[in-house]
Amino acid sequence: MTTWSVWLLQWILKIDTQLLRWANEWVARSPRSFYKALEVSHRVPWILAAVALAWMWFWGDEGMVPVRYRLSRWESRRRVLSTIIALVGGFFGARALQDVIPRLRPVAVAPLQVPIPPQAWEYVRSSLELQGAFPSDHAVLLFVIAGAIFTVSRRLGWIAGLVALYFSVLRVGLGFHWPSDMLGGALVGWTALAVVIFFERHISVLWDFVVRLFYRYPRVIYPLAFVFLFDLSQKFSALFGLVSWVLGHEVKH
Amino acid sequence: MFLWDYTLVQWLNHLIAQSERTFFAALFLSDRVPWVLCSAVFVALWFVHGERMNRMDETQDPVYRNRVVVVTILLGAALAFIAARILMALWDRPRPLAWMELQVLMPPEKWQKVVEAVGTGKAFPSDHTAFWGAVSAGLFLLSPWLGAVGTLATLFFAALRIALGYHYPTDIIAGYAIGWMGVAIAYALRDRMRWFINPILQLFDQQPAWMYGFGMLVLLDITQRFAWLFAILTILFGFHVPG
Repeated sequence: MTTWSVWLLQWILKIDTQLLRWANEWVARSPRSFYKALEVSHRVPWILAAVALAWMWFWGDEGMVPVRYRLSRWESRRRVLSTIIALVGGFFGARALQDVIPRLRPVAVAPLQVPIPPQAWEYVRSSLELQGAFPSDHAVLLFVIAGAIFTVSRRLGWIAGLVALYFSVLRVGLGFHWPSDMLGGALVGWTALAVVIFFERHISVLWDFVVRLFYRYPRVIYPLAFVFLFDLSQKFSALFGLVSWVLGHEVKH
Repeated sequence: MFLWDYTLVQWLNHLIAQSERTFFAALFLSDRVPWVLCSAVFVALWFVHGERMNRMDETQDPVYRNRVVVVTILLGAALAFIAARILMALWDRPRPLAWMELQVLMPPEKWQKVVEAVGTGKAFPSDHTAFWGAVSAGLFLLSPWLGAVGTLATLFFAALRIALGYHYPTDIIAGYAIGWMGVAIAYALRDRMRWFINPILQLFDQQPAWMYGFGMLVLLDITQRFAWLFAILTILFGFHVPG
């Protein structure tokens, strides 16, 4: 390693540790706030992602030419499909990087304030410690959705960005991730989104086919889309439960 | 309790305890699946004639007519569910799993977690069946075939809950009857509720993005058995809906 890369790593670690300490102090100000952060940071981002995708599906002007909004509803629907692909790509990218980069989570190595009973905390810790920290797959989800909303509405995109930042602070404060993991997750997510949006025109035929299915068979496709969004809101637990049942052993996700 | 209550629980439990896979399948299917199906049914009915309403006229616009029925079923089902929850709190009947010797094909510590989640009391009536029964009763308003399929699905999922020792058959019958009553009351009051239903339907046409986003939240809450709605009610008004 060159001198400057060692210096850069040390600088990142210093900033990471300082930000982690601030976030942890804020989250651990009381047992109630800690429990709240645990509960909110776990499921709510996934529920909000499902709601945001439903919102985006019905955003935009109804005709082919946008008048009131930045884009037509048809274009907005193409963007929803691109966002789903970016999410899948971002997740696989993040999981692949987690396997390659051997970074431990703060819960495993950093001294944290944890104002809840040790056995309850141990239960949370044990489910996390084995998974790599960098980059955060929650950050991929949060920032892909925020980025996608930004492409259809600037103002609401900024608000979604702030919401993503809030959840990021919660996850850092709980010691699940270092701040740079969240930044890494955001960059992985945005890269995936940018790549898919860049190629959106080339795959618009496929997207148009899917969107047309919704107009042609609404009574079939909309319920299927709902089941997909429901499972997204549950971190795909139904999908993995089904796979586990078929295979006869538990599949971790 | 009747003798056949006890016998039917034993017989159905024996059926699902053929292997670990069937037992696990019964656990999986009796938990969230029926709720997700109910929500998916609401979505299917909502979009059955397309996305947009043409006019707020029952005789002219099938989209409007369907949506009024969907909202009516939803209100009736919610009413039945809340009524069942209140009855459950008033009539604290122990569940079969609390005292009967059932075949459980899973590790005891995992089964213990299931028992803790379900609880050992408050078996009568089944709130789940009240909701599913209301949805299947509502389907009869649209088509007898749909209603029959909905009823069969309700019976299937209710049988799974009996087999797992969550309920006696009489809990299920009572829950189903409450579901029918909920929808009957909502349907009878349908015209008097137009002041409430029509603006909601109009909003779905005027602000679709926000309303469908909100609708998604409502449907997800149904899959959580109205947990968020009850939490909000507890925070706002301080009263706790038991269950």
